[in-house]
Formats: sequence, C-alpha cells, structure tokens
Amino acid sequence: MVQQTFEGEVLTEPVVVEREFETVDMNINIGPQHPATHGVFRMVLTVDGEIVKDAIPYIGYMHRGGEKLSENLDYRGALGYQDRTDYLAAFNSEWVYVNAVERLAGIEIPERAEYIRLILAEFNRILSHFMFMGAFGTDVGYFGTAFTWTFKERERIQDLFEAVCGDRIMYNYFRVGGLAWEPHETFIEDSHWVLDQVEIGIGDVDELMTNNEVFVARCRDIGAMTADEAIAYGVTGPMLRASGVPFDLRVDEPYSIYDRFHWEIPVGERGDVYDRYLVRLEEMRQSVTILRQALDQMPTSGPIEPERMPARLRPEPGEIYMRQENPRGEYGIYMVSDGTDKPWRVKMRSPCFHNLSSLKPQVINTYLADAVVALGSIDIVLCEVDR
Amino acid sequence: MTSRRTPVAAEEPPGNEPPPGSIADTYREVMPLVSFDAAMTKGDDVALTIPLDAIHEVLERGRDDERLQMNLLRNQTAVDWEDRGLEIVYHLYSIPLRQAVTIKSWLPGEGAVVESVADLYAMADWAERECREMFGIEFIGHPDPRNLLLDEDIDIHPLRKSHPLAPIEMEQGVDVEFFTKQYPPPEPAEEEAPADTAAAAAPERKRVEDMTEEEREQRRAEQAERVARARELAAVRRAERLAGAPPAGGPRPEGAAPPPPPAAAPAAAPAAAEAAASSAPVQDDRPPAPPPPELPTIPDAEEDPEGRAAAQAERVRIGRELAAARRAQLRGD
Repeated sequence: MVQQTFEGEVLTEPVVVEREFETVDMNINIGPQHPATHGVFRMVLTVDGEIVKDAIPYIGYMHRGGEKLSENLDYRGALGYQDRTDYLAAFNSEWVYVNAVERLAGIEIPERAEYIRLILAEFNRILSHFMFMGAFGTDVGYFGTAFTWTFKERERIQDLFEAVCGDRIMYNYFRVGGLAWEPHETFIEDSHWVLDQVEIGIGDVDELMTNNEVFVARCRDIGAMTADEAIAYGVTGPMLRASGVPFDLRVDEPYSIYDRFHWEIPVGERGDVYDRYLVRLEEMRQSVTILRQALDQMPTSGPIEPERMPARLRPEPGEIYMRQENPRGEYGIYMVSDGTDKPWRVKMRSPCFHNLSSLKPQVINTYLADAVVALGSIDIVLCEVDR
Repeated sequence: MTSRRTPVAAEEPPGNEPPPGSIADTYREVMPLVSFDAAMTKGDDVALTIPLDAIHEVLERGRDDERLQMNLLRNQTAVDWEDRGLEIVYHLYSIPLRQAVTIKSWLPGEGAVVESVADLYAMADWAERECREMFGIEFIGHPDPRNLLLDEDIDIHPLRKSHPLAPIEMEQGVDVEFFTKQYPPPEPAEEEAPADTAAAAAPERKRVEDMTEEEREQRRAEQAERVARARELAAVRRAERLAGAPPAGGPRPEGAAPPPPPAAAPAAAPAAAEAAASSAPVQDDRPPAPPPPELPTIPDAEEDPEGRAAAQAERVRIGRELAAARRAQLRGD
C-alpha cells in the first residue's frame, strides 16, 4: 500500500506483523431454563471467542406424547390436546383437528360456524404475532416496553375470546361439526371495536420498532436463509415468506372460505431476521383486512352445528393429511381411521419443529449475541415443537 | 429396481383410483419401472404406494424432475399396522407447481430398515430421528441417528401399538379392557392399599377383566359361599342374643352352640360379610327393642274434636311410658 501526501512525498508501506493467536473452542450451554430460549429449549454452542462454530439443539423437554394419547381417545376427546400443543394459537390448532375429523367422517358444517371459526382463528393469528413482537422485542433490547405495549393489545383480544368461550388460553371451543355454543350477542360489535383498537396497536408497534436504528442494526442480515435452503429444511410460514417464497396455504391450497376474501401475501427479500419481523407485522394488518371482510359477510343468524350428528364417530377406514396456515407455519394433522371410534394414528406436523431444525445453519459463523436474536425470530413454542 | 408388489399391499382393499391426468400418471411417466399403487385419500390427495427399495430414487427424481418439482417434504411419519407391518409415509408438495402427493411404503414390523432421505431434504434429518425413536425404524445413511424427543438413553418405541400407555392413563381411560387384552396388567402395588391389609395379603388377586369364564364362575361360587356363611353366622348371633347370652367377648355358655370361628372365613372375604361379622358384637350390648305398641289413630279435627284430643293424649302417655322403660333399661335396672 502506497500513500502519497499532498506535497507529493511518497510514504513507504507500513510494516504489519502478522501473528496467529491460538484460541481454544469453548462449549456454552444455553437453557433449558433460560429466558432467551422461549421455553425449555437447550442448545450447546461451540464458540471461538464470540463466533459460534457449532450448535447442537436439544428438544423434547416438553414431550408429552400427545399423539399416543390422541390415538387412545375417541375422535372428540382428543380435541383438548390441540390447545396444549400451540398454546399461542390454540384456535388455529383446534381448527385443523376438527377439520381433519370432519373431512375424514364426511361431515358438513354450517356456514355461520365456518365464519366464526375463521374470525377467531384470524384473531388468534394477530394475538400470536403480538406475542412474537413482545418477546422478540425483549430479545433485541426493548426490555419491558415491547412486552407491555403488545400485551395491552393482547388483553383486548383475550377479553373477546373470554366473552366468547370463557377461557383466555385453552379455549376448547370448536367441536367436530361446529362450535360448542353460540358466541355472545354483541360478538360482531365487540370484534369491530377490538379490531379498531388493535389496528392502532399495530401502528404503535410499527412506530416503536421498525425504524429504530438499534433494532435494525441488530436484525439486518442476521440468520439469513435463501429460499432453497428454507424449503429444504421444511420451513414454512412467515419464515419462508421472509425468504421470498409466497407460499401461504390459505392461497396455495385454499381451505375453508378463504377464497371469499381479498388480501395480499407479504413477502420478504433477504430472508433475514428483519424481514421475518416485517412479514409478521404486515401479516397482522392483512389479518385485520380479512377480519373486516369476514365480519361484514358473516350471517347474523343461523345454525352453528349440523342438525344431526352421530353420537359416536366411526369414520370409514381412510386417511387424511389436513394442513392449514397457522401463525407459525403449516400445521398438519395426519389422521388414519381404521373404522373404529378411535383414530388409529394421529400425527401432528408442527411448524416450529421444522423451523427450529433450521437454526443450526442460521447461527453458525455469527456472533453469539446474534444467535439469540435468530432463535427469537423463529417464534418457537416449545409445547408445539415437542408435542 | 424391482417392480414387485409387496404381499401386504396386495391385501389392501382397492382404494378409489385417482382420475386420469392426476399426478399419479405423471409419476408413472417419469419412473416407468417403479410400480405405483395409486389411491385417493379422504383429503383428495393422491397416495402412491411404492416398493420399499424405491423410496430414495422416487423422492430424488420427484424432486429433480421438471414435471414434478416436489421441493418441499412437508411431513414424514410412519403408521404401525401391527400384524401387517409398518407403513412409512412421506407428504410432498411442489411449491412452484402447487401439487401435493403422498408416498407410502410397507415395512416389516421388526427390523425395519429404510434408506434415509436426509441427503435430499434437510428437513428429513429431524423427522427421521423422531421416526426412528418412535417406531424403531432404522434409517441407513442418516447423519445423526440419536434420540430427539426422548431421552438419549431410552430405547423404547412409544408409538408402536405394542407399547402400553402408562398405568395412570389406563385408569383414567374409559376403555381399560382394550389394553388389558393385549398387555399384561400392572402388578398391584402393595403400598397403594395399606389400609386394606386383608386384600394386600391375599395372594395374586386377579382382575375380573382378565379372568376366564371358568374362573369367573368359580369366583361367583366363592362369593355365594361367603355370603351364605356370613348369613349363617349372623343367624347364630341373633339366636344367642334372643336367648340372653352374654355379649361377645365374655365367657360363652357351655351348652350354646359355638358359632363358626371368624378365622374360618377366607381372608379376602367380601366387605359386606366382614361388616356383618364385626358389627354383630356391638349390637349384642343392647337389649332387643320391644315390639312397638299399637298407637291410636288420630281422627280428623272437624269430625271428632274430643276423640282427637283423647287420642293425642293417649299417644303422649304411651311415648312417656316407652321412654321411661328405655331409661330404666339403660340404667341397668
């Protein structure tokens, strides 16, 4: 390197002494009881200084054998386990399960029940994404602020759920064939009011986080995955869409009555943590759009369950893989019937299980602090990962 | 590439064939040497059953072929069909072409070995680990075959149908017979029933659900015998009481017929008989109640007011007499 001064004097190249420092790799155990792991998740990181060289994730601390238990209960009895897999999106999980049983048994459900299910599930998507905003904001440095702001909005939605079904977390409100009971009289008005408030809340979160310099610096180009890489790992949901793949089961394999509404699929460009955040933020706004249309179209009266339902469900032998778009990705129920009143096989395909398996390529050769951010951007629910 | 049909698959009832032009025909065009048994599932997906040794090739060519482009392995699991063996299931989806397919294959129940597809789909890494620990299927060529959800040292396969539920679920579940038919019932824990010493000391109490018809018949006969013996005992006690015998525990008169000793009853006597036997001495302390005197009926007030007052006075007098007699008895006069 030759430098020239203003006077034209040529300086000689500075002498650089290169010397290799010998470093020793160190294993760091994070979890299973650690606030940054969002549940009982454990990973053993091999670090070279601040750089992560290897990561071994350990899961299964929350494994309760929900599949085995569901196989030993009748078709209706196993519904409660769905609330306990993805507890942040319990309505969505319940919906997949009851849809699988209904398709397997050939049960038609009334239109009004379908609308109410969709409305509750979309509200639950907003609820779940608010939880992500709060927890992820805490990961990147908004200690308290993000949590309290988003929980204020979550309270409104949870109050609505409580008025509908009497519970705030474990709803158990959907039934095979319809709903447990009628929602309260002012359901539509309350929903509109909650939507108005929630829309303001989404704007608040947007203003708080999106353009914050520190937030962008912590999230940009962290944990980036290409589209092919994400697909190979079975990543679905907002993480896959952040990588630029417009794959949304509500559009690609339309189920229920999603073909009656108009909305857009937000897609990211770089596939990094910041895009995942942006995709989720935009998804909340799109959910509000869907909800407004659904609330306007919803029939105000009508049955919420079929006129005749068998006392004991005995679907004909057959199988179904029912999949729907949960807040975290593709939630699937693979159910096999052998003609008796119990399912022969129930497999829950949980999106977080596969999203989490892509953690290792994301964190290798990044800083240790960024590994925590990458983990937070997956939005894991360990109950759903372990089932 | 063999084109043999597994005998298990041949026994399967023929499912409804997918319509012509479906993805099953595309698979047959791409891989003409592989035999595809196509059927429609209840979810309107095409399910293709292929020979076991063709799994890796079918998935690889399905991923790379222009007409299929199955780039997303969305789900991978297995089903335990007990006598018919295991069935391994792959759910594939093509994001660019928006088409889904289910690939299935039959495995033997024991010693099942499948070629791993973790080199094709990174997603299969964890899915096969879960499948391996839950069903005991070995995946050849898997990079990291450790337990995933279960403890690393555990070598059980919980999702096999031969694996019983824990006893607590057996007790909570409605259909207990379903499990007891197939699996040996849990040994009755002795510390569970410390109070019922007679039952705990009984050798090998068998559950009613497990008994054969002969054993049930024998059990009924034993119960009837115990009840008869208890009734006999109670009758003897009653006769002793009426004869003015001293209460139990005191010296028994020589002439009185001794009742059968309680030890003669089997240790696991039914609770009713034991209660009858144990409560008999308590009743011996009290003298038998005299037969109730006839009480005058009270006439209606409008018809016969004087007779009504007289009848009421008579009933009060009888009651006082009875109470006085009772007091005298209790005092020991």
